[in-house]
Amino acid sequence: MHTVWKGSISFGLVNIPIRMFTATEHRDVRFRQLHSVCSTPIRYAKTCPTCDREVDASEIVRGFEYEKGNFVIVKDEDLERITPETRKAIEILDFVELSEIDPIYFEKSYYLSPQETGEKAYALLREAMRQSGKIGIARLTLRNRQSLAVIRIYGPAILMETIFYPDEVRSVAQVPALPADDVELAENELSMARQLIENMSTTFDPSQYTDLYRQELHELIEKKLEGQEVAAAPAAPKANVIDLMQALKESIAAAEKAGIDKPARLKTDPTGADQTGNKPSAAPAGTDQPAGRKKTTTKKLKRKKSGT
Amino acid sequence: MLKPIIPMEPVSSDIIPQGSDWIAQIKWDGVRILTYFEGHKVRLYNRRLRERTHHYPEITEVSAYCDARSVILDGEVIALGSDAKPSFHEVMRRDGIRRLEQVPRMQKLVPVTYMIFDVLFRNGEWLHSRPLQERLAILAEVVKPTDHIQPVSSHANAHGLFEAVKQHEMEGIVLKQVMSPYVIGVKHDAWLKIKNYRDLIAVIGGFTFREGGMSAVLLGLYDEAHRLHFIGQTGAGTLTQQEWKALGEVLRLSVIPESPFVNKPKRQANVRWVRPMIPVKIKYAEWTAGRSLRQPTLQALVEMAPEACTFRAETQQT
Repeated sequence: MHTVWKGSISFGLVNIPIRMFTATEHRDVRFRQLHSVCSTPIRYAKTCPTCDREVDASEIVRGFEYEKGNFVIVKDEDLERITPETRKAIEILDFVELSEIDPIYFEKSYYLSPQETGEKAYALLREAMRQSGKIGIARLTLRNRQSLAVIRIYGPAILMETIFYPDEVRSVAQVPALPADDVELAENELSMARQLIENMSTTFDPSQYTDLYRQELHELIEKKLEGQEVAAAPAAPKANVIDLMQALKESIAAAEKAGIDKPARLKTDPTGADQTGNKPSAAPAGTDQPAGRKKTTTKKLKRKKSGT
Repeated sequence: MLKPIIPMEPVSSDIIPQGSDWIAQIKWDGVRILTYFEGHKVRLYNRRLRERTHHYPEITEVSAYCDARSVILDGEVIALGSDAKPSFHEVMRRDGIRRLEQVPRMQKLVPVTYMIFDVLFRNGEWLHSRPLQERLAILAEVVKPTDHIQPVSSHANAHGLFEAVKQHEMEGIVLKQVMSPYVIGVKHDAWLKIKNYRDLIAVIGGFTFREGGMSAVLLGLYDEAHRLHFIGQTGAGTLTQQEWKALGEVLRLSVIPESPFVNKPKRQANVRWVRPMIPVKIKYAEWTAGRSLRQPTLQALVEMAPEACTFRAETQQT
């Protein structure tokens, strides 16, 4: 796990230095979009329809669309001026009962662990919260944004849940077609429904719920990998070395039939430059060989070469 | 435990020697790999003594293709391109794997073949001072071909072989003296390579761009005074679109204001200069009189110190 934030829990006069880790993660199978023709990942280009060209990041500014087509430009400096002071602290404001907070408020969970000097104070806060059964309501600045959070105990750790501000939770009154509470219900139907709930009741065991779709996706991908059903590769070579060796053999036979076994037909040097000394800085490859070897080559050949 | 050795290398030659004391073999364009097999343990090393054991599972089952209690084999690992010819670019997709968990997947995408041409050690005994013809006889005795293993064949008619290699647009041939020993760690003229096409490793010192991206990279080699000379430019060559794009992104990050070249490339419009950092393998037809490459094409990115991309290294290595 990597640290996403460093700071402290401030609790009355006590400061507990802590590190923060993300507690949950999405395990969705992620796909990339490819061009179907060549399997290249699609690139998103930011373009300006007016100037009709791609736009560099340095040319982009932030605009707030206060009405359709009309913008207020907001610069980095503007934002910096109002960014809340980063106090690097999770400030516990109150302690409340967990049951008082509806789960609808919970946004994201983070584990907190003590930094070097904070162990004792951490253990103290943890134990006190365990004994009182209360949870803390805290305020912190995370990613330039002031957040509201709940501090609670999860196993051996102090856990922080960021929570939505009340005005971020949509009012249930906006949900259409909810039946009124005083709708008349037949007593026997209600008792049957209660019976059903009774029969389906169990204790919560998260491990029994797995994401079947994700599992099947993984299996599908595994199978495709095994069966070489893999994009991106330019079609795996169908030819093999044995075919190539056979083709070469036939070419040699044909060459021999055509009488190529004499050096007279030879032109091995594709670079006239070597012989004329144009190749940079070092001697041409043929000239650094000892004379002893050269006597095996024919004079006729040399003459032929220098003549061409 | 057998200590990895630096293999013997051929010397470049423009002429095919005459005589029955020479045999000719195809020069397979791939990655030089030596196999060290000691009963249970197998290790693979390249010519720079970097271990490659886990890169090529196809060839580490030594007892499946080699009848020896212990052995050192020398050969070239090759992969075929879409044109059914050995492709340096393809084999680098295997050799360049950093995260070894990728190997099984890439093994399916890029199958390789080990073209074995020498044996240096067998059943506890060093063979490198024995004459080539004896080593080849032993090689034929111990190695049996499989889907991924092929012994390199030897030919008496070098000219016929070279003709066939030209016809199939392959890299070239190697001539070997049949009575010669295997000279460890040396570039020795008992082996001569005659190339059909040439290649070298140059460093990228700039790029040109058109609307929509990079259009070519500018290539350079260092001289003895460590000055970088512009020697030509090339497009994507055998790189895939993704690789070319990725290369472009890396180059964009290393842009510098001044040209790193001592000589000025002709084209100056739409050019960006970059810190010379990325060595690339270039196939080319020949040098022009003006110290530049004719028909350079990009083959692959290679792992090498950029300052080793010199004229001197080039004339020795290819």
